[in-house]
Amino acid sequence: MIGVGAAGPLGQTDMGRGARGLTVVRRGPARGAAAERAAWISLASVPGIGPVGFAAVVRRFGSAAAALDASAAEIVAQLPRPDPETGVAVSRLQRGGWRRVAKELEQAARQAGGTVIVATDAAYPELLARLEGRPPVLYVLGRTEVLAHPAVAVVGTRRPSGYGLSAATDIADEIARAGITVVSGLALGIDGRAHLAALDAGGRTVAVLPSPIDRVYPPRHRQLATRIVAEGGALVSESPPGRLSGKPDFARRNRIISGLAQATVVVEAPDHSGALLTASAAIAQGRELYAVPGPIDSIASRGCNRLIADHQAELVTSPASLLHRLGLRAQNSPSTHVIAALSEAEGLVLGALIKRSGSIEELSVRSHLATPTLASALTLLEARGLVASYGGVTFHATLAARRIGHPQGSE
Amino acid sequence: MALAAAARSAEVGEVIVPQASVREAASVRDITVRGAASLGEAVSHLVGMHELPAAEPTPIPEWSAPDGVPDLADVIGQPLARRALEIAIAGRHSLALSGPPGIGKTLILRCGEGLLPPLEEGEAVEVSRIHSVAGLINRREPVIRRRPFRAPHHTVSTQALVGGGSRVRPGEASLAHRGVLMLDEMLQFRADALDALRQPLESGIVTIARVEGALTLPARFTLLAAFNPCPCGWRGSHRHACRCEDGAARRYLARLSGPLRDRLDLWVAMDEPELRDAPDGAEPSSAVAQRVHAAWRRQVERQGIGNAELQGALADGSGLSTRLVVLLQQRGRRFGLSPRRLHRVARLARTIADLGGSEEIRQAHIDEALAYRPERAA
Repeated sequence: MIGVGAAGPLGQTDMGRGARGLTVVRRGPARGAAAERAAWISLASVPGIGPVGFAAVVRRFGSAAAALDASAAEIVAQLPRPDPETGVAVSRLQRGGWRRVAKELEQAARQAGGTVIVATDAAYPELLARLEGRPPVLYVLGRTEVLAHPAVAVVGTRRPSGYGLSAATDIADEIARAGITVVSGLALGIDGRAHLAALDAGGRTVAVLPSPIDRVYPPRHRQLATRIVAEGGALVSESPPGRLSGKPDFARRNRIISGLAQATVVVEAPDHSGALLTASAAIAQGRELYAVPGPIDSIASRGCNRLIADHQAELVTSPASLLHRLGLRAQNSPSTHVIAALSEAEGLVLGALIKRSGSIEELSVRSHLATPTLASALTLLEARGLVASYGGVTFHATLAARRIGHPQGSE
Repeated sequence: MALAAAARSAEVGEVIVPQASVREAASVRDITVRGAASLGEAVSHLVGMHELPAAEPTPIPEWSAPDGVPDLADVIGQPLARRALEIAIAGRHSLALSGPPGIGKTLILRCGEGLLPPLEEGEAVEVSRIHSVAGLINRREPVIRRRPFRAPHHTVSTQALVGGGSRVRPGEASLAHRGVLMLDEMLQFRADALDALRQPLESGIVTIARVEGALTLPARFTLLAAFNPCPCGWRGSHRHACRCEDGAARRYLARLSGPLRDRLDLWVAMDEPELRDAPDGAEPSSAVAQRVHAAWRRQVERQGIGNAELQGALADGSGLSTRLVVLLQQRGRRFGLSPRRLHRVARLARTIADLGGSEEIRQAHIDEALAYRPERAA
């Protein structure tokens, strides 16, 4: 069960912001909004208090500040999974002074170059605010405004096939060109590829981390994370920065990914893939879910094919059709001059790849070209951005090439 | 034969040899060989009394695959790997094939033995010397004619691979001199053994440190290697999902250290061949060997060494026009290639041009050479 708590919707509590409104209603103990904000930041930082427990606590005591004046045992009793360790953490927070802790957390965020956004802040993303299990506090590195833009999530397996990488590239590229933010989880494989394709298309992308914003996970995507921030996107995390956090929390991260987006696209996912958790989060949140179908003999696509077969996700027939379904339209199509200067062999290869991706072996059977001619044609097409290969086995016509189309492609 | 070769090197136009050695000596080209049955005959020829007939050049033996060597006609599919092997053998470039288990990586590499051109005379002497030191010479056939093809198992010790020991014995790297060193399952070799191959790959020699000083042995071989891309073998495959943890797969490929990876000229990522309903009529080794041998002759005649051994391949007079140097640099930026890689690509392009019988390097040769860049495969 994701995003559905035992407690009622948090949006209706005192300090909450309505689904539409930005008004902060103050009731209960006469405390400043700033104090309550500090209480949210400190209470949400307690390991063991998740979004659902947090909502229950605030509802029970009227406000987070009031809750923090109560005993640790009383607070822990409200949680869906009461744990003595959480009680210890709450008492420690109370002894240390939760106002001071909140100040320290905000300072740590600033030191990391980031910002703290509380669910009651105007900057808190609208789509996320509507959710029952919304994270009470977000730590953001980069432009917080970008979180208010319309967004689509693109997720998938960490061990993709060439087909999956190609599909992720095309879909993220198309979404980014339509001016929509691409949200994903910065994981290796499909996620990273989706971020990269959005950046390469000159678009914006948001990465939701399973780790604090100052401890980018996975470390191999540190450079990518830097680029996302530098190019107008943002990194988002529920975990406070500057702390030696435990394990990265993937389940909670996945729920934020789907929560930030109006629709989620699962590009490639085997059975039991983490991407399927994002898919069920999207369903639980009442968001649109799309899946890219794969070959029936591909283990990497089993999860996606199942989502489609079980009518849980809509089938994506092409990146353009996905945009159409979302009511969007791709912009700034590239000019056609790039393919004007192709030789006959290069045109033949591109035409064959626009019809269907394939290995050099398949291409040699389909095009009847000699291997040296094929090999050199593919290099030239790669250099012009018309063909891409992931790992050098399978070659794909890029979205740019397919948008332009080619006379040879229709024979 | 060695004498005739030496005479030709000394720019002597003609040699007289004992009648029994005429056939052998006449296998040396560009020199007139005459056979004399006695010293008297030689003398009467020299004083102009009775001219000895010039021997017909001994024909170079017809191409024939050595026994037990597989033929490329038996390889199903894998056009790019076949072509890369042809280029590797023709120009002595190092080649790596990666891909899932059981798709014919080893078979293709083994086919390389059947493509090797015969040893040049000077090379035959060098190779025979090394094998003689190693005690691997057949007394009845003291000169080795075939290029060596060595395929040590991955459990080989570093000493056995590059040489050494209390009584110095050439290692596999030296025994493969002027021929092929094939490393199947290359990533299974000991890390220090692979490391020790860096020197011969770069400079064509191995230096063995000994108490009484360092000993240098020649070791200029063509490296043919194969390995799985990850422990389970399916990483990057189109149809199968890889079952390896990310870390495990990364550590596995990291065994191919940066410096060693930099020294690979050609890299082909292979996948399972397509299912097909008819044999694909692939070229047999004999046809490929013809192109390889012709390309090798072009190199010998032009520069006396293999293209892979050329220095400064981007320099003037290498057959690469200024326009193509610029193109190569553009491609390098586009694909993120190092200057060192671009030199390797230029040398490969030279071999591809030689295989096509072209003295001039063309854009298509460069673009084909770039198709084998390791940066695309991994």
